[in-house]
Amino acid sequence: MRVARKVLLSLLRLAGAVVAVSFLTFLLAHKIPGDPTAIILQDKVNTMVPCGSVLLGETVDCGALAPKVVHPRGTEAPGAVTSVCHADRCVIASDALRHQMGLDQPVLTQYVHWAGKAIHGDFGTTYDTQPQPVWPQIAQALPPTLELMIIAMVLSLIISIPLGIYAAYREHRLGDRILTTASFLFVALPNFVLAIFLIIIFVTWMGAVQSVYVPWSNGVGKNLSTLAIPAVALSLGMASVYQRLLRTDMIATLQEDFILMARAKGLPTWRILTRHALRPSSFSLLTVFGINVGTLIGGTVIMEVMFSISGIGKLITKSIYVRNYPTIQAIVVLIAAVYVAANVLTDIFYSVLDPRIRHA
Amino acid sequence: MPEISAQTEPDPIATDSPDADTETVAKRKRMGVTFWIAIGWVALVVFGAIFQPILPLQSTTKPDPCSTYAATMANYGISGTAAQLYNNSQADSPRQAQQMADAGTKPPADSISACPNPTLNSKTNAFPSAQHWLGTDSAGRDTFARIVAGAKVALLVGLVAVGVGMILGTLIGLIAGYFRGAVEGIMMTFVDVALAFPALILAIAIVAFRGQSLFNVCLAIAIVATPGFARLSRSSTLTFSEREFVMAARVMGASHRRIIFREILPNVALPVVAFYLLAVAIAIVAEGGLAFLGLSVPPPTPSWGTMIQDGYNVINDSPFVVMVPSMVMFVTVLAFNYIGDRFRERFDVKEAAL
Amino acid sequence: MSEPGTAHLRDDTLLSVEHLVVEFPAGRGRKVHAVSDLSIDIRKGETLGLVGESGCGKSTTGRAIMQLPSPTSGSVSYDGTEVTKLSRADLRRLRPKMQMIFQDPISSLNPRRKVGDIVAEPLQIWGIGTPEERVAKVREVLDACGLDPDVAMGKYPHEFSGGQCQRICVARALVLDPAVIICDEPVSALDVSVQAQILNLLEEMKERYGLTLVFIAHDLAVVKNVSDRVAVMYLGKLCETGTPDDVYGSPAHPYTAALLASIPKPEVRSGSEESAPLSGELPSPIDPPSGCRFRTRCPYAQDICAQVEPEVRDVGNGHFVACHFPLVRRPNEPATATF
Repeated sequence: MRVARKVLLSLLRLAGAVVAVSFLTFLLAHKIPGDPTAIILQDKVNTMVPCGSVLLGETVDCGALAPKVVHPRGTEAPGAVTSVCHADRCVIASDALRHQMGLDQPVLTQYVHWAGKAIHGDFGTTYDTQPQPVWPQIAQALPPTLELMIIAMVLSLIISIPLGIYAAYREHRLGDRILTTASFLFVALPNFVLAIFLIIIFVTWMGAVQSVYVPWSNGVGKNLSTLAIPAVALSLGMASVYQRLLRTDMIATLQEDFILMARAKGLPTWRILTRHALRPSSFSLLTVFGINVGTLIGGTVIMEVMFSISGIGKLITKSIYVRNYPTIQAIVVLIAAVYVAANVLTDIFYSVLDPRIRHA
Repeated sequence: MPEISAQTEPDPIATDSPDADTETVAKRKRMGVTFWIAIGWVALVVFGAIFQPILPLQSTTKPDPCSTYAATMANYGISGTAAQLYNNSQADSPRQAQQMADAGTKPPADSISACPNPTLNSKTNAFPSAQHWLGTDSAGRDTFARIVAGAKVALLVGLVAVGVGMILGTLIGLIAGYFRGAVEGIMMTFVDVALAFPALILAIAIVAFRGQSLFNVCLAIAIVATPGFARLSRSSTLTFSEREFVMAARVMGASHRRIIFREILPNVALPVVAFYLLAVAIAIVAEGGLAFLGLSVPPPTPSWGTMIQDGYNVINDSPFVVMVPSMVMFVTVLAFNYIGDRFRERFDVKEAAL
Repeated sequence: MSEPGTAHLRDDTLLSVEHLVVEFPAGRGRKVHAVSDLSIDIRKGETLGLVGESGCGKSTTGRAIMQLPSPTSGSVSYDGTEVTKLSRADLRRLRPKMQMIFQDPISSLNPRRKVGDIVAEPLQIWGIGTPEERVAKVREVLDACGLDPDVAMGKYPHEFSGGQCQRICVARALVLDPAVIICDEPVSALDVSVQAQILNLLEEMKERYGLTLVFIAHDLAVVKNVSDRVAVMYLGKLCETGTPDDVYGSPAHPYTAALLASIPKPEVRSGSEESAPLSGELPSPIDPPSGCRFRTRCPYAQDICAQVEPEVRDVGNGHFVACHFPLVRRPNEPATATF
């Protein structure tokens, strides 16, 4: 019952946060200087759109709009479409286009309209001379990003759990001290700097792997080998944090009576460590593991740009360069949703797993 | 698998070493050499950032005259031979090439004075030399001068922008934690929404939507940093508000403002400052991340992030170019992390002693 | 005074509390009845001892007198001024007259400020005197409280013991020359050996500065020695009030008797029947018992106790009790209870 209530509350929180985040992004995108129609009509700078010509699949209706032109110095002449001026040049935009895109509506109306379509997976079309739907672009970019993230997450656990157990077991001894120092260094090491060091060693000097991404379709082995450096670069920092957390919790657990009991029964050390001590010691690790999804998303974006991986990060940077706001907006909302969802899942997972919280 | 044998050697699981504990306590009291090295490095970075304009450094934007020596010569039409000689490695240095060319035609005097001591290293992607302490980048600009200039950006983004976020966030946290009720509810809702954004993505969104400039990068960092400080200072304020010295201050007739700033703030300040030191390190890394996405300060202003990104383009031919700013950023981040850790340890000891 | 529940109140008092009610929200629409219809008063120069178990509302009463927070209803009048009706600015102006000393001396001193600043702060807030005069005043009160000003002023609170910290708190309370000091369990966090020192200090200061004290404590022995009058509280209600000799010598309320019986000292008391120490749990202040609140734990409880709330009534010599079956007889009345 308590768990069900908690899940429901968490889901409500998730929905609320996603709505808030998407609205803020929407506001941010609409607060930018300039007119989105100016971007669409960029290649029609200082030209007049003739009556009856087709813009974005719609015929420009001169009769309805009585269009006019604004010349660079602000003198108006009849016969063309309203334009937006920057400094000494004018970019033609049209009220018809603004109207068609719904940009003449209040922001809140625009948002509700956008959100209503977004729920059904329709994130609109790009602001482009050749507009494309946003969602297929994102869907295409998702698999490499998810692949990299999952590999990095799994790798960080594979590295951190044994090292964390080992460090707790050898507390204050040489092995533990070396690991503590190393984890401190790796926590401070920015992932892109680590990636650079790895590239210099394994690509520039040894020529062991390639640093340009190869998609799945060109062979799984090649694909994985090109993901090796970005995945390691992403995972070592996280692994250091997890190792530290596990070590601290494990040291506390190892001093509890049930461990003494297990030892008294004559169980082998490795069995005590992995079977009895690991599970009660892993709660902070799991919590941070969930929270870290946000950091991981940020890191993945950078790795994709560095290693030319055509994922979400690459897509968002490309969209930023060409000021493709609908795409940027869709990605930001998507990432926020994933991030909040990860946090909620961690919360739920935590309350289901930890008996103290469940019965409290 | 080895069985636990209590007789032969002390069992590590049961090892409860009081010696080690007293040792760490003793270590905490002294800050240690590493701490002062870290402080020294940060001081050096701050010094460089502040005095960069008046330090006798080379230009951060213009390429080394010697790297364009051959080109200069070519421009005059008379030194084509010198450039050729140099490029064909028939001469060991531009100067020698110049001397060899001098035999034929007279070169312009100013191009020689601009490059008084040319060596083979005086070109793009050069290794360190007496003239270029940390070599040059792919455009032939002095890396050392750019690192020092980049420190300015790092500190603006790190110390200043995070500082603004800290002040703002701490204020929000103090007010929310002290007054509670509806004020707290509204403020913390905003904070939670801001925290629902992954930090780097929020920074990307802000810079992308507002345009690429040093101010916007700082603004993004400040905005991203604020909610974390708000959370921290609120929870800290909550614990201190319940202490009786706050009640005592109210009995004395102290105003809310006085209680918040004179009674609570000095107590909240310590954990906030500890978090600040770590946040500065995170912000410096974030600037690097933004640089990789082409969203950091616009060229030609050098920042460590943009330098790393520039150097990354020539990593296969001249890995040294990218190594220098990467190492500088790493060491700086490491220093801030270390100071922050130490600060926290020290602070905890003090709290425990109360 | 003929109004119900205030029979024990006197004239010419400095501080008088009437029908004080303090309630806190307890979630889900329920309320904690911390103090319910409490009336007490203090004459100038008097020490009122307010005793009761933890959670009986005695500290809440102390804070409600200080308007921290303001009571839910009831009146608090100081020297003829109705404190509950004061505007925020006027209340602030009244604050220097009434000071407070808290239970945990360490927690009531800001750990990040030096003792000299802590004690000088009230003067700073009120802008009293020049900086030199302030320092002189701070030195005077620190000295009066048995601390060496030269040593103490430059140190931080954590460099002092609990007893010394409480001396600092007393000094801070005295620095504004208040008329009333509310001492909220000032010695219960201290070692027994230090308690006497602080009690003596408070007595001395009372003499020296002509103070009026409200002394809140759960320890009856402590209250007995310092008080001119004692008021016993149970679950937010007044049980009994009178001189320490009357209350301790011949307790009229079964609760007081039980409290006294639970003191583990081999002390011979006269005039009181054999009372069993308290048994059972303190009922929840969210849902207090009807009628007399003590009835659930009272060995003499009868049906009337559940139905009618007992009024405060005189049992002689300014000794008042709120009980249907008081253990001492009223002067002109036969015993009503047959035990």
